[in-house]
Amino acid sequence: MPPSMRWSSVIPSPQAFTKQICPNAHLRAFSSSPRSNAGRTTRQRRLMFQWLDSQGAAFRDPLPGSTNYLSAYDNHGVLRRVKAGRGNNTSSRSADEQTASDELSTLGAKSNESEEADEASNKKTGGDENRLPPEGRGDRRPFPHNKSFFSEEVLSEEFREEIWRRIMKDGMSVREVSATTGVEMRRVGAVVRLKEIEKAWLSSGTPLARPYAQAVMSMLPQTQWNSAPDARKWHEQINSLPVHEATTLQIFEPTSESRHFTREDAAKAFDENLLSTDERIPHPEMVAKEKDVLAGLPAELVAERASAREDAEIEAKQKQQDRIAKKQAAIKKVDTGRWQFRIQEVKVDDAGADGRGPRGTGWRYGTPLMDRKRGQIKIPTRVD
Amino acid sequence: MADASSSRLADNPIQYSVDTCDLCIMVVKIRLARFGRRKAPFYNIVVAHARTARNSKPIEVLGTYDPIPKMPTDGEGKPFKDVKLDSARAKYWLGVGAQPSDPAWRLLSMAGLLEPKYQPNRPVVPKPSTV
Repeated sequence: MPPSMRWSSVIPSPQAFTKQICPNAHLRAFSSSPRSNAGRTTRQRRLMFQWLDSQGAAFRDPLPGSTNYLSAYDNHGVLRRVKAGRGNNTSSRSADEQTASDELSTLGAKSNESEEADEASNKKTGGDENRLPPEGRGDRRPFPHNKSFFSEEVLSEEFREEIWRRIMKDGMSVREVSATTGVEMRRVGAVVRLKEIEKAWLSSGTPLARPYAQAVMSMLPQTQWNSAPDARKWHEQINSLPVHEATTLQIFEPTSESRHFTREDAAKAFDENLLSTDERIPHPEMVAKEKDVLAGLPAELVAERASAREDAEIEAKQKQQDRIAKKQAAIKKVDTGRWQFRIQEVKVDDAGADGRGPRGTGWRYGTPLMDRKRGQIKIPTRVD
Repeated sequence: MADASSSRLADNPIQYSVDTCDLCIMVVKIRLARFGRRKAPFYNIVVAHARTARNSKPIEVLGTYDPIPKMPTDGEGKPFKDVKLDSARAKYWLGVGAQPSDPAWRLLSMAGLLEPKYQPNRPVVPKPSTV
C-alpha cells in the first residue's frame, strides 16, 4: 500500500496559492480557503481583483474631507471631479489614468500631512491646481444603482452654533433666523433644542460622544457657515408650501366663467376654515417684500414697508399674548395638596331670560342629549 | 294661669308646630347636581329647594364643577380641576340664608366666600379642661 498522499503536498498553502494567481494579494488576509476547483480562475474572481486594484484601491485610504462615495470615482478609480476639472483647466494635457492617479495620491498625501489642506478641501474652495475641486451633486450618490438618491448636506458644527447664538443670545425670532440663514424654521427649532441639550450636558459634566460625531460629520457633505451674507449658500428651500390634509381631496367646483377665482376662493372650496396658500407658506413676508421690489419701489421704501409689516405683526402677537394673559390672570388658582382648582368667574345672566341660552354655564335642563337622538353614531372615529 | 296663656297667645297670634314650620318655610340649599355619564361625572352648582330631586330644575345654576383632573397643556405643574362660579350670585344666596351642602361648602370656601369647614393642616387648639 502506497503511503497516503498529504493534501498540502498537492496544493500549495492557501497564502501561496493566492499569491500565485494574484501578485498583489499579499495584503489580503481574506479568501485564503482552499477550493475544490482551485486551479481555475473564474470571471467573477478576476473582476473582483481587477476592481480591488483599480476603483477599490481608492477606498483603501479614504480621501479626507470628501464623502468617498462609489459614484465619485470612475471605472479606473479616478475622482470624476478631478478629471473634469483638469479637462477644463488644461485641455492640452492628456487625461490618462496614470497622471490622474498620481494627482490623486499627491492630493491624499497633502491632506494627510497638513491640517490646512484638509480645511481647504473641506471648504471646497476649488480653483488652485493642487486643491480638490468642489464636490458636485453627481458625486453625492452613495448607491450607484439608485440614480435618484443623493446624500443631502447637513449643517456644520459652526453653522449650528451660529443659529443657536442668534436665537438665544441675540434674541432673533425663528422666522428671522430662517430667512437670513436659509434654513427651514422647523430645522432651526430642532437645532436650538439639541444645542440646548448639548450645553446642558456640558455644564452637568455628561460625557459627549465627540469622536463619533466627528467621524460621522467627516463622512457627510456639509453646509458651511459663511459670515458674509452675500456669499452665503442657502441650506435648503425654506418657503415651500406644506401639504394640508384638506387639500388632498379632488374637488369638482363648478363656477361661472366671469368669476375671478382667487387662491382664497380655492382654499374656501377645500375647507371653510382653510387659509389661502399665500398665508400658509412659512415666509409670507419674503413674498410681500419681493412684490414691492417687483413693483419698482425704491430700496429704502421697500425696507421701510417690510419693517412696518414686521412691527404690525409683533404688535398683533403682543396683543394676543396680552389677551391670553389677562384671561389667565382672571382665573383664581387654589392649590390643595393633590390638585389645583381653577376657579373661573361666570355670569348667571349669560344663560338668558329662560335660562336656556347657548352661552349659559352648566349642564342644560330640559334638552335631550345629542347622543340620545336617533341616528347618532357612538363608535369613536378617532383616538387622541 | 289661663290669663297668662291667653296673654301669650295674644302676643304671638300664630303658633307653629315644628312640622308645619318645615312645610311653610322651604329650606333653600346650595348643592351639587350630578350630570355627565357613567364614570364621567360633571356637576352643576345649583341653588334649589331642599326637598326637590337632585337633578330637578333648580332655582338658579351658579356654576359648574368638573371633578375629573386634567393635565396642564405644557405638562408642568399639578393636574387641575375646573370650577366655574358666579360668586356675586353665590354671595347673595348665602346672604339670604341658603345652606351649602358639604361639597358645595368646600368649593365656596375655595372661592373665598366661606370659612373652610375642614382644615387638615390647622393647628389644633387644646380644649380647656372641664374639671
